[in-house]
Amino acid sequence: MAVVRFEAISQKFGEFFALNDVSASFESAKIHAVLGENGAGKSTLMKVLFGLQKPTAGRIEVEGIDRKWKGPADAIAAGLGMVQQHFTLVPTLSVIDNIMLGAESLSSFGRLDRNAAIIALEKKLPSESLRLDWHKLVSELSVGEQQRVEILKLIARDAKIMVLDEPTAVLTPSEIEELFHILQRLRDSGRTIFVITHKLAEVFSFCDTWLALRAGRVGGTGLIEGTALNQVVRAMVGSDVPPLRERAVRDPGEVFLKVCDVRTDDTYGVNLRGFNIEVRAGEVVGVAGVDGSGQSELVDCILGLRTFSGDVSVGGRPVRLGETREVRDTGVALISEDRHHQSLWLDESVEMNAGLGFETSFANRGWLNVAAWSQTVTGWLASFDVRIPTMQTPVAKLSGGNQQKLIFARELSGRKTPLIICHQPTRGVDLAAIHSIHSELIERRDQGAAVLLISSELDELLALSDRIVAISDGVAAGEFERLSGTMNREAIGRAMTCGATT
Amino acid sequence: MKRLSLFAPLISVFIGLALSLLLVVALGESPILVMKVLANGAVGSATSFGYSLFYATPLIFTGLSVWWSLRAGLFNIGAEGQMTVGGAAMAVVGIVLSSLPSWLAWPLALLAGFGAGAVWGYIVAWFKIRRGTHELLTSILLNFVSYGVAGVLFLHVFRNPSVQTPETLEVRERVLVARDERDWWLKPVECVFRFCSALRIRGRRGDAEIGFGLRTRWVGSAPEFARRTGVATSRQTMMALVISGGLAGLAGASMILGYAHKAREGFSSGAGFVGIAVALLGGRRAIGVLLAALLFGALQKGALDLDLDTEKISRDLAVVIQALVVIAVATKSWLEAKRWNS
Repeated sequence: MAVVRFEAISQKFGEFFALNDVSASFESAKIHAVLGENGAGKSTLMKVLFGLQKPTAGRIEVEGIDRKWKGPADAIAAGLGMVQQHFTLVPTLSVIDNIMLGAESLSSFGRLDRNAAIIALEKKLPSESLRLDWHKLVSELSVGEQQRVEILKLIARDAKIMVLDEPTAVLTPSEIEELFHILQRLRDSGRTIFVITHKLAEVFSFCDTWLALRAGRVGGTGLIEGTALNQVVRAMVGSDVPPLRERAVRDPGEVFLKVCDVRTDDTYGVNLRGFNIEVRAGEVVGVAGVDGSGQSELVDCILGLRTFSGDVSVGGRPVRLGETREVRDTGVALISEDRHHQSLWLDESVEMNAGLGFETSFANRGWLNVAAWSQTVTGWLASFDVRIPTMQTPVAKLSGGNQQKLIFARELSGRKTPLIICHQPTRGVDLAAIHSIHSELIERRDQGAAVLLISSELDELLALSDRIVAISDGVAAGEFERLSGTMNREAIGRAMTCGATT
Repeated sequence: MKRLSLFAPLISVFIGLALSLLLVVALGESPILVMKVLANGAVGSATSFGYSLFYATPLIFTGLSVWWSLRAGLFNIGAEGQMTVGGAAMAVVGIVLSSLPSWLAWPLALLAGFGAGAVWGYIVAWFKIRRGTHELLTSILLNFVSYGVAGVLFLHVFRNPSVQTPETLEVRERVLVARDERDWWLKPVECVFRFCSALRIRGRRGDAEIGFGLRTRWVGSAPEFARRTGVATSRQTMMALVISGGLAGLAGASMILGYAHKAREGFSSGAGFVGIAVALLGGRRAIGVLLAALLFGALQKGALDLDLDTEKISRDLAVVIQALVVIAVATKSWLEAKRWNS
């Protein structure tokens, strides 16, 4: 029986269709994967279901009843619940207080009755594996446990239909597995679960059905059983993605980047605690780790943006604080983690963004030669297949994939780049662009560039790296090589989470 | 966005003016009369227009000063103090270096004005870079220091003993910017003209931009990006505040070297603060700041006659209009930011 049905849902923002005539129905007690690239409309569809967005046209049916939500409160009352990508928890309150927040059970004189709330909640738990220490502060929980608190909130409010927005983005491999086991328990207890995601591996391991959206329309739908992976990819992208370029067999050359026993000393935040890594010419070295294990600090140290003790050298030249220009001039291409702030000047034009950093080469006695600038960067952008309306378009208006390709074009064209530092190069980027970015990195490696690839997507690291160094709480927690066959998912996942003891 | 850039300030001015006229109506005065008085006072005759330019001149400099800091992502609200020390420095040079030839004397006086303002800006930059103190705080607090410093000079070192008011001795004639006795209203015009042609501030689209100016804006708008590309961000910040302070330091020139021939306590009369409004209205381009300064100068001049020609409205209406225009500008940016985020 269909528990949720969309009938010809359209959602217009101005002239733009975020959803265009989407019809789909979902059975109860199943895990449904809602797939699509950025901007395909998957989040919008779930927002429409949850009453956060009023559709321009179309009908929503929940449990056979035609629904017109006035807002999320209506949807919650009807048994829906949503876990946002960014948690909405109060870190200074305990688990049970967070769960009660907004639906407090009170005893006489309006006192909070935590015991009653705990008893009520425990009765509703479909499985013991969901249990947490109810009185622990949320700030003391791991990310995976915090996510469980969000799910528990929905259980406490008797949500029968749960929507999770990109739930695995912040989790380690073992936490992802745990999450889906919990979701499967919830499914088995009769709840319907929607998971918004773009990670196909998870979908195939844990979900029951899939719906792929492409540019606001239904690209395809079906049961996971009996569906091939590239069928789903085609539904998302509209065409087949060619296989990744084969890497050339080659011996790595000289060590180009050397990080030796680097420690940072920052009162707030994460510190490196004696981190080591070496990247040679002609190899891709991956850094695997949960976000916030010291990756950003590592990049800052290499660029001379942060005080550290220990040795960092780029191209044989020691890195010192404040010498960022010198480091970049030895030939460092930098793909920063936070694209919008660290790699782009959002409200400036494409043309400007594509040339920034090389402005001195377009200058004549201080005055910039706009014509030369424009001509040069047009060539750069063309060779990287960046699709732009005009050179004067603000770069903020480009899609994530095109922004990232523009950054690659700028970073790799302006000078020789024996070292490429990539920090989350494909975050928020569409599949076609991911493919061209990955191919570019492999090609550069084959041509002899040293590539430092920092990513929290293990699949990306496994596909590209010659070696992977796991980082955990600021130390290197294990090294894995492609050639010797030690590069396997489980071992890396363990090293990322358990630290150097493995 | 780009298309709106010329149109939007005009709308802001229009809204500010309309709201002020509503106030005028509420006070029982004829808005038509008020507009007539304003227009007549500002541009009714050649002399009036000259006066308007005179009032606009310091605003051009304080406006450009704040504008330059905004480009660098900084908010220098200390133009008032920078103008005060700049003016004091000009007066001192004008009094002390009386024996120099004219062609050397007045540029030197201007240089001193720029330098004094720049030093004030440098102090703000030093605190920001070395101690992390926000420039809003230091720049406005330094205003009070500047009043003190200027006060000591005006009252104790270079005081004119023959008058009761706290003002300096007269600046020697050789140092003056405009010396023609008959067309004295031309002095401010000449002043503006000389400075503007010397400064030659150009926008990006029309001609070309200098790399230094580009980096200033870059550090202001996308600091993390600039830092990671190897731009020395603290140096850019320092230079931006020094230039901003220097421009404000020049603001007293038309007053001291062009008209009054002496510095007097409180000569800045709020031009530094109005400069903030001018910069906000002026927007991204230097020419916009120039036009905004002319508008505000004309408003100040036109409003003077309101005291005499109307019963209930005083010259302070100019301040009201300016304030409402700034609020309109701020509302516009707020709406834009809101649209951008949604």
